[in-house]
Amino acid sequence: MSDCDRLSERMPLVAAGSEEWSAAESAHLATCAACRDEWKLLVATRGLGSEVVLRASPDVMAATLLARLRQVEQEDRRRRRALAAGTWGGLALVATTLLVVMLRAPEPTTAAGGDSVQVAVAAAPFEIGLPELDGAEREELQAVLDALDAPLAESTTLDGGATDGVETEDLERVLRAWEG
Amino acid sequence: MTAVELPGDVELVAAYRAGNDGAATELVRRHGPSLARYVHAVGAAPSEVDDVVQETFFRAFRRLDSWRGESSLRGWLCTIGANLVRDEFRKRRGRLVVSIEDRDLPDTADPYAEVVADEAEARLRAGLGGLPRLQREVFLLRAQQGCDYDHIARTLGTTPGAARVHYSHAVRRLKELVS
Repeated sequence: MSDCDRLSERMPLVAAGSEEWSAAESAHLATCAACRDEWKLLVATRGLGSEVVLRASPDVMAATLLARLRQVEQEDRRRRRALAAGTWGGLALVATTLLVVMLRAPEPTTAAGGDSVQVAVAAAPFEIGLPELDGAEREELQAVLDALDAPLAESTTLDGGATDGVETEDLERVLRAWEG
Repeated sequence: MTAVELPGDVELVAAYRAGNDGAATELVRRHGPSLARYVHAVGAAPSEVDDVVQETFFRAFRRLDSWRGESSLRGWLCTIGANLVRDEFRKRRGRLVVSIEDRDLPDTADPYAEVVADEAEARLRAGLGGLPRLQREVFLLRAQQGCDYDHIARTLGTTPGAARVHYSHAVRRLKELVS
């Protein structure tokens, strides 16, 4: 480090009055124009604004500061409480809305005297594959359906009245398919 | 580092955080006058200095948690103050305020010397106003506030080496104006 660099490092401390130039440093300052100019600049800067005085005393300024900080902290607490209330209120509203939607969901129709299991089964699409009927003629299929639709009192598997139009073999084939 | 790194700052901040309002008063008393001179040097008009200093302390105390004691508290306060002055300058979209019109001229036995001194100070202020912001702040923290390069670097978010370069460039530019 050169003499100039060493002096430059020390200038702020000497300008602040916390240290002093050594004899060698003073001698260097007397002969080095660059260091002298920097020293003058530092002293001038150090004195910059020395005429500036705070109008308020530090005690008054501190009291104003503390009052303002307390006010802002109170506002922050109020804002946090309002936010928390709003959050819980929002959650409650969502929960209530979901509950209303669930309670008002359309109920599937039920058969008279039926229980919930039969209602569920009756409401679902119900298909049974009957490959044996795939080859049946239209009249044969209609006869089977008519037999199924006829009131119980009017038909019986014993007399076979409702199935007169169906060949016995076809009917047996259908019955075997149903019975598995 | 002696002029700015006051040994009690860390303890005072801790005491304030623990609820001791007296610690805040002591911090204002300790740093207020220097802060006033600094913000005036970076461009605040004398009539605005009180407001800038008050606002600087307010913002600093609101985020005391972010000051961990590694950098100088005064340097940190000065940086907040300089940012405030810069923001105010941007809002006004005007030239940097370097007026000395608000200052009362003291009675002296040598008015000519006083005028010369005024002119030199005016040139210095104009020179400071012409520096890039980082050079100006590094120079003032070093020359006016007496901060060392390590603290300047931590305060301004740069390195000690870069701070030395900024200071050296600022000195070179300002020397011609003051000489």
